[in-house]
Parts: sequence; structure tokens; C-alpha cells
Amino acid sequence: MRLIDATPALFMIALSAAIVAGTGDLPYWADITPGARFFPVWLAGTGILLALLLLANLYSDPAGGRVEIPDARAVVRVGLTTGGMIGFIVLTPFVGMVLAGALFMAFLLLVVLRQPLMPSLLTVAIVALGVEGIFVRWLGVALPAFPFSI
Amino acid sequence: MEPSLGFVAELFAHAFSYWWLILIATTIGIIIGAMPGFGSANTIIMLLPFTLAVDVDVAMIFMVSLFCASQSGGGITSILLNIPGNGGSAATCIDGYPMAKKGLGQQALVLSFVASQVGGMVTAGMSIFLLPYMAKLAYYLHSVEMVVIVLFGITLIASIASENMLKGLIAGGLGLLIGAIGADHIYSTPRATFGFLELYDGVPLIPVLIGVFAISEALMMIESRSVLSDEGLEVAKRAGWKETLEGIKWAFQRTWLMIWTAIVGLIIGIVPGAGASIAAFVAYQQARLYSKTPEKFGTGIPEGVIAPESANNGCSSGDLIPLLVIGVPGGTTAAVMMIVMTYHGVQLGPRLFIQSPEIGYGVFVTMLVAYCVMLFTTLPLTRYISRLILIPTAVLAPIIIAFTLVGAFAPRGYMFDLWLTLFFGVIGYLCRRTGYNVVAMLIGVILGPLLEANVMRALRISGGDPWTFFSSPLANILWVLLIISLLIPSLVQWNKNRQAALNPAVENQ
Repeated sequence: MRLIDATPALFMIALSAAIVAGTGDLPYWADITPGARFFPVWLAGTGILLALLLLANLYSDPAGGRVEIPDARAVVRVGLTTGGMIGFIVLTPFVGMVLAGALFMAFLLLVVLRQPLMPSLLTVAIVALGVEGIFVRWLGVALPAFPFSI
Repeated sequence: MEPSLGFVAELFAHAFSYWWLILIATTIGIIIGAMPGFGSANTIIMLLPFTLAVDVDVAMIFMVSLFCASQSGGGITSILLNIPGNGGSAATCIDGYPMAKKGLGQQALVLSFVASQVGGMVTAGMSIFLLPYMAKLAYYLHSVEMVVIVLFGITLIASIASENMLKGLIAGGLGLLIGAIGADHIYSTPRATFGFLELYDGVPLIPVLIGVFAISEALMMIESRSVLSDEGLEVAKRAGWKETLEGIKWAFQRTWLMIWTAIVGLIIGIVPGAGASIAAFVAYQQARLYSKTPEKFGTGIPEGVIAPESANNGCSSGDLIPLLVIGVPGGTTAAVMMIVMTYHGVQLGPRLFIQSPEIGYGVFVTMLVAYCVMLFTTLPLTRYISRLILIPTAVLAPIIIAFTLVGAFAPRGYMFDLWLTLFFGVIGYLCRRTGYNVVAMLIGVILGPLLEANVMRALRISGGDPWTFFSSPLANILWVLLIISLLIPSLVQWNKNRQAALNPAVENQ
């Protein structure tokens, strides 16, 4: 049994444990009816049971739940994209959402997906203008703005 | 008192005289409906200066048309990009996206639009003439009955999970656990919020939808660099008017399905608090249950697109019935409409149909007109909208991520929601990669809190008596239907096995 095959079960157990711990100070029963902890505890219990069943299945039939791992280049692309999204979220409060989005897209198109320079820059410009035009100007959504913008 | 045909015809002519306004409102509605993170309620709020300034009938025509169109628009991104525009169109992804991947995106769009519009017209028409009777239905549907209705939706997890039951149940259980985060529904005690104030109202649906569907899909695109198979690409490139007509033909070959799933949506919509999401999932589950080929659901079949789309548009009429008849809004958009109507001095409740019947019935007549107008405006556009899928994935994936991250931020304006979207995006990607069904997870997130709220409320009202769940005749009928619906697949399978066992015996004789 590989660790990656067991990861979903382990995540389920961790989440269930976190839910049980996060509701530890709440009443299981209140007056005559179930309290705030009743439902989460039963759900977490069922979750742990299902996760243990999955682990048992994997142990008895290791090939049954085998996960196909993408090739190294695909993993790198997905990892870089996730990193780029983290960068987008971190940068947004400092440079504004439109600029952070444009930088993120440029990174994705040019670095991660290796697209040609000019079409990529054109796409970035169109999307940035689209976000500004639709969300900010038309729909009036207050997106985090560039500190020196007008 | 039912309205006379002459009165309805007058209202129809009046609403139709504002066709240009309906055209504008439905266009806006379809665009915002297709944008994840942006719904009809937000748009109507932003357009309050307009709706408060014009006459109440004009304001209602505008709001109702926009509301209907936003439900129809949600299916576009569900089908083409596997990204539901709103909760009501999440179930459309299950079969809509596989159709698009086969190169049948245009037909799927046509099916979605025809089902939406026919479903909407049927339920709007029914609402006009059966309003007094349907209003009574709202009085009979209490927490106990809602528990069973929600369970109908939750059983879909088992249907979806039939390929790998354990994995499906884990995905559904994960969704239910996530849905349990946030203040509980009776005592409002925050629980399992891990110190985040932003989670006090529960895990917000939009970041979950965007993360699980849009971000994970974009990550899959970036990983594999293609959505369509070569064969699918060829089919999609050839799409033209013939495919539009083919989609219309497929839809009308399933007219009865459109009608009864719309009625399911209408009934669920009447219950305040129940929304298009549950209506779509319940309708999908029921369509699969009574299908002759349930095993084909999820592989990209027309029935899987028609059922949820018809139901979520049927729900639009139902949403407005409690607002007009008893003055209780059935959903967020209905609540915003209530503000506008109250501002204009319209008295909601039973007196509305005596004092201003042209407003009360006019709402549903406007729906009828709006759906008619949309039928003629959306269908010719499907061949152009479906081209979206031909954009190279290397360009499409970054655009999806950028737009949807902004969409995740827009409803609440919290940076926290962006982190939540990223978290669910990674979870969704891992689920897809490891064969866990993300739709099963979403069903848990949407229906879990509804189930808990109704179970707790029913127990609280009954003083903790568990027999309360079997205390009403309507609930008992629903329980029997639920048990039958759970047994039918096993019985059908048993019958098939028996036939298969008998046939060789017959052949040998």
C-alpha cells in the first residue's frame, strides 16, 4: 500500500478528527433535543469508519485503489500553477487584484505553459481589461485596487 | 380565485409590449448566470436605482426576466467548462460536460436552453392557474417533509457512487463534514470554524463551487493540455445549424421528462429556503431512477442535461409563490424583489391578488413571456457560444483561473474566500486524480446543512420525539416513495439477472 493511495483516507480521518476537536466545547445534547455537536460527531464517526474501510480495502487489495500519478512535467506544471495562485492571493492586497491577475496570467502563459510572447501578452491585456470592465466598471464590485490608481 | 383567460391575455399583451426591456434583462441575466460567483440577487441589488425609479410593473418585468435568464445561463459554463454558474446548474455538469467532451457541446447547450425554457414556461403557466392550490402546498411542507425531500437528493450520492461505492461515499461524507462547519442552525453556536470569523456562516458555496469545479478543471487542463479528444474536436469544429436542430429534436423527444422534472422543481421551489440546487439534484436523481438506461447517466446523455435544467427553471416560479402569496421570500432574489415591491407600496400576501391582481399574476405572465423570448434569442446563439470550447486549453485554463478567482472574491469581498477557493481547488484536483466524485462531495456540502437544519427544527418543535418524522400523512407518503426509489435499482437489477438466468435455460430447451 503506497502512501499516495492512502492519502484520501488519511485526509478524511484528519478532517473528522478536526471536526470532533473543533466542536469539543459544545453540548452533544441540549434540553430535550440534540445539541450543536450531535450532527458533526455522527458525521465524523461515519467518516472515520469509511476511511478505515478504505484503508482495509487497500491493505487487502493494494492494486484495487492504485492511483495513476501524472508524469513529472505535468506535476511540475500543476505545482507551478498552484504556486502562482498563492502568489496572486499574496500580491493582491499590495498591487490590486487586476494587476496581480495580469501578472499571474503572464506567469502561467509564459513560464508554465510556454506560450509565444505576443499572443500571451495580448491575452493578458484582454483579460485584465475584461476583469476591470466587467467586475469593476459594469458590476461595480469593489476589488482590491492598486494603491496609486485613480 | 383563478384568473380568467381574457385577463391573462391582457397581462400577456402588456408584458409583451416591453419586449425590448425583457430582451435587455434576459441578456444581462444569461451573462451573469454564466459567471460563477455572480447571481441575479447581486445584479438586482446593483440595479436598484433603476428598479426603484420606474413604475412597479416595469420594475417587476425587468427583475423577473433577469431572474429567469440567470437560471438558464448557469448551464452554459457547466456544459462547456465543467464550471457551474450557480448552485442550480451544478448537476448539469454531470452529463453536460461529458457531452461537450465528445464534441456534442452545441447539442448539450440547445438541450439546456430548451429544457430551461420549456420547464420555465410549463411551471409559469401552472402557477397562473393553480396558484391558490399551490400556495396551500407551502403550508403542508414543513421540516419533517423537507427532511425526506433532502434525503431524496442525498441518495444521489449512492447512485453516483455506484461505480466505486466506498470512494463515492467518502466523497459525499467529506462534503457533509465540510457542510457541518459553521454556526449550528438552532443555537447559532459557531463550531469547527478553527478560529476563522469568515466561517461563522458556514463554508460559503461559491468558493467551494469555483474551487472544486473551475480551479480543479483548469489544473486538469494544465496537466493534460487538452479537453477534447481529437475525434471530439473534429465533431465540435463541424457544428452548425444542423446540430442546433438536432438538439431541439432530442429535447422534444423527451418532452415528458422536461415537464415532470419542471414540476419537481416547482414543488421544491415553493418551500421557503429550499433552492434550485436541491431541485436540480433531486430531479437528476429521479430521472436516473426511472430511466430505462440508468447506467448511461454520467456518460453524457441528453436526459442528464434536461432533468436538472428543467427543474432549476421550474424552481424559479416556485421561489416566487410564497413571496406573493404569504409574503415570505423563497430565496435571496425573491427577498430583493420583496424590497422593491414594498418600496413601491405593493402589499404582499393574499390581499395582493384582490388589490393588485395585475402584479400578482403579472409576475408569472412575465415569466412566460421572458421564457418565450429567450427560446428565440438563445437557440440561434448556441452554435457560436459552443465555440468557446475550441479555444486552445493553454489559453483557456489561465483565463478560467483568473476570472473565477475574481468571481470567488466578489460575493463577500473577503481575501479569505480566495484561500478557500485555492484549498478546494487542490482538494478537487486530488479528488479527480484519485477517482473520487466531486459532484458527490458538492451534494454533501449543499444538502448537509439543509438536512441538519430541518432534522433539528423538527425535533425541537416535537420536543425531541423521533416519531415526529412519521407523524404527517404527506411525510409518510414521501418516506414510502423514498424507500421505493431506493429499492427500484436493486429490483431492476434482480429482474435483469433473473431474465439473464432464464434466457440461456430457454435457449437450451
